[in-house]
Amino acid sequence: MEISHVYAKLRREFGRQCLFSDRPEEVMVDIHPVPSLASEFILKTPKDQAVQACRDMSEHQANTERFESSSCGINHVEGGWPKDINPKDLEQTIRFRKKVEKEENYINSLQYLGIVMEHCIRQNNTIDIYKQYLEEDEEVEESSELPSAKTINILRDPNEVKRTITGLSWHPDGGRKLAAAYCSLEFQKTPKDMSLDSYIWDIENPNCPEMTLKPESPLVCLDYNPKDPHTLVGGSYNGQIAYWDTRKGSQPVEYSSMEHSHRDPVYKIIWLQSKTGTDAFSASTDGQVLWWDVRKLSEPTERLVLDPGREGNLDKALGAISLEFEPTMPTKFMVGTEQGLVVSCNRKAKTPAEKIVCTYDGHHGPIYALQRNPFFPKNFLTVGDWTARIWSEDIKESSIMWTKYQKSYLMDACWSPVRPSVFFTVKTEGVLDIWDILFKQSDPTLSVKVSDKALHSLRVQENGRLVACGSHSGNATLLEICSGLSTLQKNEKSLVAAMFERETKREKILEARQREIRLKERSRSEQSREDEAGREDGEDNPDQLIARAESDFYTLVEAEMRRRERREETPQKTVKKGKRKI
Amino acid sequence: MSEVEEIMKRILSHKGVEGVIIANTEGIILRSTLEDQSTVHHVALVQPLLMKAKKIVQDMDPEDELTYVRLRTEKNEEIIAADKDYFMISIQTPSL
Repeated sequence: MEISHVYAKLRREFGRQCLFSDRPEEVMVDIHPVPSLASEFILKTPKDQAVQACRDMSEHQANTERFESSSCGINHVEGGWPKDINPKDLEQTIRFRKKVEKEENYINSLQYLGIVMEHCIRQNNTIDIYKQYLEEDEEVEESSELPSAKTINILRDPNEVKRTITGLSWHPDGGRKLAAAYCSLEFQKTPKDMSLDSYIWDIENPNCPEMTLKPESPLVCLDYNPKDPHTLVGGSYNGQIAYWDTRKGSQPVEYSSMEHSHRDPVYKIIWLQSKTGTDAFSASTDGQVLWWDVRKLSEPTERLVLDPGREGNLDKALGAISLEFEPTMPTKFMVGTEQGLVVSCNRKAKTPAEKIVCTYDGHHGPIYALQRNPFFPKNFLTVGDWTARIWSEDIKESSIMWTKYQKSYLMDACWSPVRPSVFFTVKTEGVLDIWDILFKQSDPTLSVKVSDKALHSLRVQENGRLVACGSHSGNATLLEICSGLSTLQKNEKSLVAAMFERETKREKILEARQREIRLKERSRSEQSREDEAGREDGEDNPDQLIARAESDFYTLVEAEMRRRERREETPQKTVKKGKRKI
Repeated sequence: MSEVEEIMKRILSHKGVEGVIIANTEGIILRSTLEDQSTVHHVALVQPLLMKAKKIVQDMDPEDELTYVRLRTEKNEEIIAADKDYFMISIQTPSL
């Protein structure tokens, strides 16, 4: 390349101060590209190459030598002694100690330490320095977590021909096992090869039941003995009661005799609280409630006929579908009937007539479930037709709270054993509803579609978290409820108590009012019987009624207008008076 | 010597104090109000902790020094006051 521009500077001007001045730009050099030179170069496709200015590294794996460790205790022996002193020699150690104590700074440092120590000790004795002043909020779950229920397991009926799960019972100790009663409740539709067995499942193993119960007739209901977790009692389709001991095998230990059992399927059987722990009672649609001692099932110990006329007449008796027994109230029990009545009975009554204390008329159809609130035994829950109702023992005319009519039949319900305001219901459309009456009364707090088939039975485990629902096709679904719905919230008991009281009061007031109205009507109808002849024409004629109404209306309006005019006049008069005076 | 006893007596007179142990940094027990076995046990376990604590403080700030370590447990509190050459442990059950 030729030199195109030369820049010269005198030597003596080196290091001179620069005096800058503005000057328009001028092109010094302009070198144009020479395309002919491009042919001497080969074009290469550009590549992306990462470059890093660092040392070359490579990855290796290394395994350290096995380090064997073992746990052992340490025996602490005095140590730290200087070499010349034998720690076991008392004299030497004492001498050493004395020597140390005579050192100068020993006393000083000890005094200083003593001061520090005393300060701390005094601090501890005055206030608790570790005290937590601001209680940590653990209850944020209320608002942030949405209620949810998760299916954990589905226990399927191992037989080909599927039967409905009509009864469920959790094992009393911890609830690891679930007993399910399988039976086809459809009248005369039972297929010939239907298995009669019922099963006890271990919830950890959904593949095959832990134990089979082989009755002679399919079981409609069963119950674990809360006192002895090995024994179960079951009521069967042909009306007999069977007693099992799981240690003794699948066959029932004893059967009740045919003559003395129920004549219809036994719909509910519950263990009673007694000293021997062997008493149970059962209910059936033949209208009887029988008491049994499981040691001697040949004959029931007691019998009660659910005759509302209190005559013990079996023909007029109401069929019983559900039973209720609360161990805290051992003398009372309640029966839910097919006719929609709840009968409350006293076991200790002397005559059979007095056994039936009172009835509650609530539902249009059979009462499929009946349970007292475990926290408030005076209030109980019933489920039947399309509603669930909560009752108070004192109010017999109507329930104190009820849900609106649902789209499908409610088949079973139970209270949550941990939260007084939560109860569960199952419907024929396969939905499990969880209701929280403190949160919302008009709708369930949570609705979970458990299966396509109808759900027939429901049981909550004692810890309140696991729920088992039995369906029409023989599947028992285990659901886990979120902690928000299964932990007791603060003030919950008092709030629920207040709510029940309020509703009870409301019903009482309504009842009283109804009675008043009825009395008035009766007295009025007696009085006006004389006036009836004259009055009837006037009252029956609609035109005269209208005319009377109109005249009443106009007189009222005129009276009001006159009153207003009077009011306007008086302030004006006072104003005028005032002006004159001034 | 009597001054040492005086100091110890004064500390013991406070409410809740169960025992006092005085030892040097090497772990040699100089004085103690508890019985031998438990004293040896205590000192043997506390001494490494104290060494570590001193080292931590020195490492963080060379000009800083450890004054005391408080070990609060469910049942009681141990206060370990440390010095260059000696340290004192006192066990107190707080009444509050």
